[in-house]
Amino acid sequence: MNDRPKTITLEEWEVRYPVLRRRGLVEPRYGGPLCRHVDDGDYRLRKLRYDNSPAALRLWNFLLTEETRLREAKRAGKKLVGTMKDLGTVPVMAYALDNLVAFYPDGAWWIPCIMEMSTGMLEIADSLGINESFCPVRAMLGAFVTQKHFPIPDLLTCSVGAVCDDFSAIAQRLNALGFDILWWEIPHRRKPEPGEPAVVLPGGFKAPKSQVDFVRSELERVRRALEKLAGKPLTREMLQDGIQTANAVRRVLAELRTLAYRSEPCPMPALEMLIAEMLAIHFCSDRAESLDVLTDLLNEVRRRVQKKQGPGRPGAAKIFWVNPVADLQVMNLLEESGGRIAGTEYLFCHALDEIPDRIDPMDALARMALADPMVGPAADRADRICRDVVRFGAEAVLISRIPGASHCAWEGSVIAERVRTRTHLPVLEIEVPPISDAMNPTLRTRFEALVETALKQRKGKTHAVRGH
Amino acid sequence: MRSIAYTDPFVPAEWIAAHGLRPLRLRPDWPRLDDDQVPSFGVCPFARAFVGELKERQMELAGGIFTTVCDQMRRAAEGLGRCRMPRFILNVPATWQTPAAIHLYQDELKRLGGFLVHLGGRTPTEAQLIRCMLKYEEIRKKQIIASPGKTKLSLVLVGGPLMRSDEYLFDVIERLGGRIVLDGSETGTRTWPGRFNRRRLRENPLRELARAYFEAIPDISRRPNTEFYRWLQRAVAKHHIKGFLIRRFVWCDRWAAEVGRIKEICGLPVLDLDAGDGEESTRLRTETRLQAFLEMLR
Repeated sequence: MNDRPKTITLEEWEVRYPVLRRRGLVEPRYGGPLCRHVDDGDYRLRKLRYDNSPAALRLWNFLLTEETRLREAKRAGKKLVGTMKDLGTVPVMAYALDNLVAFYPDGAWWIPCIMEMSTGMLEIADSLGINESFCPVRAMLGAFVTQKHFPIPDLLTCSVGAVCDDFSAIAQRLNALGFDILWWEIPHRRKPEPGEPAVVLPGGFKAPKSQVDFVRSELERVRRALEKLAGKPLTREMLQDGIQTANAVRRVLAELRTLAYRSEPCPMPALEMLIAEMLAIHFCSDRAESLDVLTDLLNEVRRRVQKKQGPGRPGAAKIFWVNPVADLQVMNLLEESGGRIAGTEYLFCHALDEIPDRIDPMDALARMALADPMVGPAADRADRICRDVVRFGAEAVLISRIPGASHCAWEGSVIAERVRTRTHLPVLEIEVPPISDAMNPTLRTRFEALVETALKQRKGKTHAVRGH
Repeated sequence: MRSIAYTDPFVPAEWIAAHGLRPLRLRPDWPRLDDDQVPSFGVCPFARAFVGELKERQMELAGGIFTTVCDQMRRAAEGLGRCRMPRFILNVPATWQTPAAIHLYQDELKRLGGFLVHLGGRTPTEAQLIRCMLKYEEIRKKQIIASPGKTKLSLVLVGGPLMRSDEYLFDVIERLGGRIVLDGSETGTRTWPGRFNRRRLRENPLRELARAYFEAIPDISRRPNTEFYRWLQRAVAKHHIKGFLIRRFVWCDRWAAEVGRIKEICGLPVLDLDAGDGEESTRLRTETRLQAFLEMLR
């Protein structure tokens, strides 16, 4: 069934889809041609380029049917938990209870892009005083007001403390509109004082044990709220099972990332890999299916790596990407400009690391929450980026600033300086709005300059090795 | 005596003073834009000004204290870059309705104490701390609060911190026939700690210090920030207010997000004064807008 890997347009998928069906493509119940999502208003799909594999088709269909899944779950009597900001921790707890489904209302930040600003969500946010000086996650307010993009959750949680001010302020505005929120605190992660009991977190950061204990106590409050909503206790065994399943997803993703970001040629495009990574945060509202979707994608990548095939151009410049982009098309643009992804830090690397499974599960989850790169110093995050840059063999680093985000201005410069000093690699900063069409020529030029610089350095290294 | 600089109201001056160091609550002046180590776009002018002033005065200051109340300030601690000044980030929880939150704040004050001792301070005895707390409370009591003049339009100012040179706002308003009867900016009386309870003070002064600051300051950053709105409604009821001024810096999401809600809740005319990156342009714009606002209120 597999043809040679390449990226194709939506129109090309329209032609390819019936061919695959005739050849015997078996799909899950949410399957179907991608173009049908355009009829639902996902207009941006017409401008993207996609991987041509059935595994990628499944991934896209899984992503684009989340709203349907949530409404079905609600109709089936399950309770919905809207988990805001923590990116990966509370969903592990919620999914441990079989009558709860968790999702991230924050995910609405991509709706203005996917639906090409046709929903009026940003205008609603504007009318509530949350204008373009805020990060695109303000679209979430519009989604709550219109109740069109996800059902209103039965419980809303939001981590606060060491989080970006944009999100905290937007969530507070949401609260003022009458949506109850369970606020839980995550303190700024600091280095342990000399002699202070410390804990190594997943991913390698260190934190004082007292901070882990504090976060654990906060998560206990979340646990009680989940139990009340589910009408049953969330036992230690259930949490352990939840952690093991989350780790199964993370293991598949870890292999997928290693293969996709290190192999030559690149076996899976940047866009599909971005979506795959996102599944680790909340399982796209179906934990079991997300594991199958990722396993399917991994098998495809394994096949390609074995055959030394990939959709990208051979020898493309290896770029490490920092922060998610508001406009998905930009991931395509990087590849069209001669680059490829070799490592990422999309703000949630803590949701990719395995959760410790040999300690008390609540303690393990607290450690994971504290490992969030955003709750600690930017220098910590930069150090992790430097480590991963080396691990994935990246040749340049691209920092994609999120428009209006409170953390990006200070953090971007700290990361850029540290990466330049430690890795001697070229670093480029860009800022991408939800619809970046007007900026495409500028972005392309900047990408090409980065690619050119990275390839020049590569050539220089090759010469140096030969000369040696 | 060596000075410790800070700007956030959740840093108790009494605690620094009790350690034998001089608390210096900085109100920086507008920042220069030529510091290439500090990004300009997207950075709160106040945070940049604070970092700039710490750098300029690093020889005279023993250390600087940042807090986690605001994300930009939390990150600004790293904006000091290669400056060797000792710095401390005080974790101030955003949640406030649980005993764990106030315990965390109290523990953070203890940790701050360790930092102050490291800088040459001495651990205070309970008696020394109590003396400091009472002294500072007395100073606060003596602060003169403006009373509305008979012919003046009474206004309440709320918002983020004011720069040193922003005092002109009060003069301009007076000149235009108005008067700030309540300064609810971050550098005003709204962010003063509560009165110390004498019994609890004797029992455990540090706990009482933590309570007076953590429980009493109705800050906008609290989640939920209901106490700020209670304070606002009390202010409206107590003073015969004609209008509200909100003064905030661009890129300050905490205040920007509340402007709409303040307008909804206070039921009075509100002027939203956003302060940009440049002092001159901000000042000219602010004066013109104040003039129009006060004309309208007449």
